[in-house]
Amino acid sequence: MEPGRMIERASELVAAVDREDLQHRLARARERFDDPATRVLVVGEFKQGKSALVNALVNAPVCQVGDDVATAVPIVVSWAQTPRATLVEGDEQLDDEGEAPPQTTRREVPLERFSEEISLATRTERRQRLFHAEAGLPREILSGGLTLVDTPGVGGLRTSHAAATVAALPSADAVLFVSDASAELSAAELRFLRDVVEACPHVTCVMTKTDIVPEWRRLADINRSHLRDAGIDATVVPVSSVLREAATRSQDVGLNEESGFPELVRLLRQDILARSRDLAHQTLNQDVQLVSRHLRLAVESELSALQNPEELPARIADLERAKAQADSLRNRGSRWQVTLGDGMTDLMSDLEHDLRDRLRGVVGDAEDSIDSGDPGKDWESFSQWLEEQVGDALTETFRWTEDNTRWITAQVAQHFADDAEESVPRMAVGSTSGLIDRARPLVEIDPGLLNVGQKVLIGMKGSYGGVLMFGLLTGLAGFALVNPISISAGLLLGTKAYSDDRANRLKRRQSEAKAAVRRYIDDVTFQVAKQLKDRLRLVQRTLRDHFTEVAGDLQRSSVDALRQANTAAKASDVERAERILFLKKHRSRVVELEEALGATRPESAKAVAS
Amino acid sequence: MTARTKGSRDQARRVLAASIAAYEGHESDQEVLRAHLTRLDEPLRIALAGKVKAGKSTLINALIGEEVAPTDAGECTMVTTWYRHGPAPRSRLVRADGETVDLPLTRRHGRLQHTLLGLAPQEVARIEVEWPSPMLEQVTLVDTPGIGSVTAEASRHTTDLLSAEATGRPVDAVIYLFKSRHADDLTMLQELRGGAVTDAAHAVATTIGVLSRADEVGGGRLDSLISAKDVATRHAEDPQMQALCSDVLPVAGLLAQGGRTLRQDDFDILAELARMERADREAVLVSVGRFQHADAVGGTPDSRMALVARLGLFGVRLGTVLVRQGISRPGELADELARRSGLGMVERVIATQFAPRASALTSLGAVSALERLLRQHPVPGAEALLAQCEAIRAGEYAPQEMRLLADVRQAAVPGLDERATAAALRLLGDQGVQPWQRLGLRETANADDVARAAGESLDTWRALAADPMATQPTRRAARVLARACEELLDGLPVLSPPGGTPATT
Repeated sequence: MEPGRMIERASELVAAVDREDLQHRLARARERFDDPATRVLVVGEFKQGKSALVNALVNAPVCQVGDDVATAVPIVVSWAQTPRATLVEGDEQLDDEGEAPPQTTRREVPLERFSEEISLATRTERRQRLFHAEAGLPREILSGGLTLVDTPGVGGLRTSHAAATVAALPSADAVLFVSDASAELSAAELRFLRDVVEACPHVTCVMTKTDIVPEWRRLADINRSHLRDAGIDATVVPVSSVLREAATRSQDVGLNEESGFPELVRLLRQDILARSRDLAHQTLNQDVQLVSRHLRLAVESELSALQNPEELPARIADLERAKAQADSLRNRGSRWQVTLGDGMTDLMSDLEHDLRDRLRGVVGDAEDSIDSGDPGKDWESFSQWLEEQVGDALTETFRWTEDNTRWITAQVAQHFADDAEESVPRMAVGSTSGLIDRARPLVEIDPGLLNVGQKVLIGMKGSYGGVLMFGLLTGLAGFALVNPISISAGLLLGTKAYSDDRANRLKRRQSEAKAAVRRYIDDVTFQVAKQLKDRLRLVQRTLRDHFTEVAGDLQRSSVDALRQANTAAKASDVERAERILFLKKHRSRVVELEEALGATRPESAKAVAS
Repeated sequence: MTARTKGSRDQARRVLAASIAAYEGHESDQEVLRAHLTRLDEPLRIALAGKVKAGKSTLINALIGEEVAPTDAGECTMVTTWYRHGPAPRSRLVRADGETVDLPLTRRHGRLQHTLLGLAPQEVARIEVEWPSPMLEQVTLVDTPGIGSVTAEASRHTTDLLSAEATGRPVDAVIYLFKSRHADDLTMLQELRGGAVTDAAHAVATTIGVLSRADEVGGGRLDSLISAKDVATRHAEDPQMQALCSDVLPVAGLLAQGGRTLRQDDFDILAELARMERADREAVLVSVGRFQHADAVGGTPDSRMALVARLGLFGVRLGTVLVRQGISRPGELADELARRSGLGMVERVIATQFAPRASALTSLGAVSALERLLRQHPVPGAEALLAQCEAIRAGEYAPQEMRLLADVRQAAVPGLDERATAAALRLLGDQGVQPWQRLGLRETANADDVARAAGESLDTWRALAADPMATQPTRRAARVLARACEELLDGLPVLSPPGGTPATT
């Protein structure tokens, strides 16, 4: 059945028995169905042509491309009636209490100044920080809720950007992994792909820049066999953004075919979009089914009370028991509530422990490395290494949290269903899939988190500059240049005289460096733990609201049926006959709806693509 | 001549000989030291390193001037390959167990094929190719498998070669190729700096970054090379990169390699393209696929494919433009393509920065390895030997000179006007290694002329070095230059012409 019609019919039936709560529920289901964002993340190493790919797909220069520029923040491109562009910014400084999540503000900018505004907004000296940018375009390809997200390229795929991308993956419906045709997939890329597939199974490898690589067909085959060997299930789609743009300019169909984009568009529209529409359909179907079951429960309870008055006391007793059980489901002490509350509390403390544990390992390695050398000399590379290690640790923690959240959700749903089963046998709990994903903001850990601590590192670097300069002036390297001829003789003396002072200075530098590392790690731990906890609280709240609502509906249905049964007991014969007639008609319509719902298989790919 | 004037090579030879004696009874240690001793008299060894498909083999072919290193769309260099000078082409495989096997020299499509005789990469130590080539007379080139390869064994070859700590790095300098500055690249460069040589300044001075596949930087647009130059400059000016390599040069290896093998019928295709109407030509050159099927420009689909595989789409576009501008012969076009490819700059760095300081660099390499050995396996007398090593390192300032040469070329030294810059470049051997060349004299200049000019130059640089108004980098540069003048005054054989004996006054 067509979704609009389905809701309409259910709504009429609900109105007939005057159930405000179910009406509300239907409206929510409709809302959810009508906001059909299918999020496709475009990820990959930098300089592979991700932004050019997005631009070519939507035929507009929304993402900045250049030989030496890199995408700095995620750019979200979706459908809009009129072209528009928005920057989502927030305060760089998080408050010390770490209480409220950072407030974001949305700022509209003219679309033609989109790129400039983004570069302006990402300049470091500003207090407001850009989280991400959004562009809306009236493009056919984006219709039906397809949303493309261009992500900052990950360099080496191990640094903080990689952690941010991995964290954002579960919220994606599909992923386009971009790698250009100039080289086969590298070991690092395959490693990253494995992570991607774990978090989001719908991955497509897009091989870009086929216009300049003669042997791209063979490379595509090589990549396919690499993917096969690595056990990654992903199609390889070779494309050329340059050809696509040329084809659009010249309206050349053949060229468009050659660009490989028709295949990619087909994949986006028919496979990815249709799959996610299927899912939305299923969810809607389930929601309406739930409503119709509530209706049927009420109508049948009342009908049986009216038709068999002698069974009425027994029915009322049944219903009271059901009500009590529905009450207890809403109760804070109910099993699913306890599971949820305890599970989340445990998860939060485990998470902090897990994070600290992983980062402690990093601190240990860092201190060993500081002890074994002069931190002043290698601070640059050292801080980069440190950031990489922290990035790795965070990625792991995020994945771990993700797994555990899913597990708790399943557990809660199970307990809720078990308890509800006893009271209301035919009542399904509804699907929880998609619940968490919807609660998730776009980019959970923003790489800027690391920046907070980075300031400490950069600050240290500045002071090292001073130390380094001073060391160079008086140290051996500078000395050797001062008096080249007599150096051989002076050298041995020089080494001795300076060595004590040098050792002291080195010690001081080492302890300063260690303090800086600890402060950095503390900052990162604090901020990340806070952000993860905020996210878990959001998940907890969403789950609690969902199940409380379901329990509330159950209770409402029981109370309603009880009330009707009581009224029935007191009613006159004429009233009763009328009511029975009405209820029978109503029931047959509910059954009709249920049958229609049961028969409705989610419409297949063709329907959406056409 | 005093012992001092013989330079660091003789000092290194002496301390190595003394050490070999000191390690009597430790066969393997002696073996390592003997290898370093032999190396002192061999040409400089330069390794080309980088990620998979960075264009290492292509650049080697361009430098040697013939397609001796196999290249392919997929990864194809699986083991370390040495290219050294020899009177006649010859190739052999050294197995991991030390046994050598002669390899047949087979060519396919004009390209040399290397076979591993069915051995796995880890069972092969290296392939050695001897080839008559002017470039290889100056230096030995070492091609390495890409790092970050899906075939882990291949990548291990490279990391073993470049950060071989135990026996000292078997190469003296590294040309590091990268397409974009990837974290893997930085890690590898850091390993190069920290790993094998004692002195970080030495490691940085002997490492040159190459922004390879420069023709692809702008997606093959006609202004790609200009854009690549800007990108390379920005890389070179980046403090992080400055701490890792002494310069970053943009190179379009394919252009340089492919230009050299241009045939008349290839040229005819370019000429036909040049004659076409602009719109038609652009339609043909929009992609490799279109070009392959453009029968209008002559040749067969296969020959057009071969042409675009050799030159790249950018090369075909540029070649067409050059023909339109009046180039009428394949040879002329090849020269122009090679000139624009940026290859010349790499050749110049090899010829002026690396090769003339071969003896200093091999000596320093040997001394580093020896110091490490003396610390790890101390023998009686190690203290004295270590002191000698330190003295050699302190007395040798080739690394500072090389770094300065790179900096002056990049105009990265403040406070030098045009004249001073030119004088500094000359003095550091940019125009040639003979004393008259370094001092900007005529070829007929005699010893007195040289001494007088060197003295004048010395005064100038000393004055600048002591100038309180000059900045620290300027004064430091002036000190290095003053020292170079002193060496010239002493008649020291510091720089040697490629492959020849040290220049003397």
